[in-house]
Amino acid sequence: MRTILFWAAVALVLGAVSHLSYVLIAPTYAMQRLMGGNPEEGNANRFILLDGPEQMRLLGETESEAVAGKCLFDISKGELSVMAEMPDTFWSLTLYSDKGADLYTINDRQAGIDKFKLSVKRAPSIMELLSSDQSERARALGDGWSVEVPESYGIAVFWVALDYPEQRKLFAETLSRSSCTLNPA
Amino acid sequence: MRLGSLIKAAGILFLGGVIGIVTAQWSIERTATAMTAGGGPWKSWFSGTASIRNPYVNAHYLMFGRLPPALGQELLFEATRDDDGAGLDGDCDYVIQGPRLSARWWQLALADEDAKQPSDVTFTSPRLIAEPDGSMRITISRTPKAGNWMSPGDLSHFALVLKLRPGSGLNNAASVVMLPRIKREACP
Repeated sequence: MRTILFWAAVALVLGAVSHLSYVLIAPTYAMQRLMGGNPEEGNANRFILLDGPEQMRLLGETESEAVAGKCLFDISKGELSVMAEMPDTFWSLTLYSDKGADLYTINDRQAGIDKFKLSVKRAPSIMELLSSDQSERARALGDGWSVEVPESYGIAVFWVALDYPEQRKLFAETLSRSSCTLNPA
Repeated sequence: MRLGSLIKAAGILFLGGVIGIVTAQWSIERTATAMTAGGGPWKSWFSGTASIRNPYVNAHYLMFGRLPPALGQELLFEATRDDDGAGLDGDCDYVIQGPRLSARWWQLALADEDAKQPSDVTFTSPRLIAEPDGSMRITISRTPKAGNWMSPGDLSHFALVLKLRPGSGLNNAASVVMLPRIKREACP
């Protein structure tokens, strides 16, 4: 009887571990696959215009429906400067963490302009805020378009709607003038 | 004796793993909310009014290879059955019909029957030819149809994924969005 109870308890513990792994750990790997790379492996902080298959994989949208770009980011050692140049149409820019949480999002109506610079930096921890007045000063100097996010790694997704497929070339040209640059701290 | 214990331990390991994954999938499935505003079989894992913080909801999107919808930009609905509760069969014809969707841009996509893998069979709002009263009507059929038409191609069974981009930066709650009906027409 004791042996049966022991093995039942082992099975339950293993079940709990695999349950939590499936829900908490596996999605992070799935997100990294979806992002098409790991920002920690050196391919971060540059803008890439997505081709048809990559756009389909990331967004499930064909190249006749939308134009998209991405920028894997790693802001563990500095501040990311996103220079976005969007066509005059319906667009959105969304930052996701490498765990799939949406950190920041904006579209054409919210922005009011199609060309802008967005600064993305790591939010200071409570300890950093308590121990340094320097970081407070730096934050106070921030100009308008800046965002502090709780994660160091993630992806910025640039999305532009197409009214008809022939717009793709023109909109892709405009979007490809966007850039992502890391400004070391 | 030692071999017997080894087999028993392997069996327990396997059983534990299966229990964990089955209960995880069951829990993820349970986090979906049935959409009742327009009737019909649509479900959503995203409320539309708060960022996704529920790990089960996050897992639903990521484990199926999709980015979770961003708050204020997107609503996602999925249907694996028609209005009468039957599975969506690639050999049958369906009519997706309802009021004009309240979004600046939307996409209706066919996916495999568990709505896991999206296919490239899609239909977007700019292509829609609206009915005279402004409503939408899209036919899904293997044989070409007049008007708005999608072919399920090789999919023997399929699911529908409806992505709405309201464009205002403010989502309505997913539960109040009027969604189209899914009616089965001809079926061999």
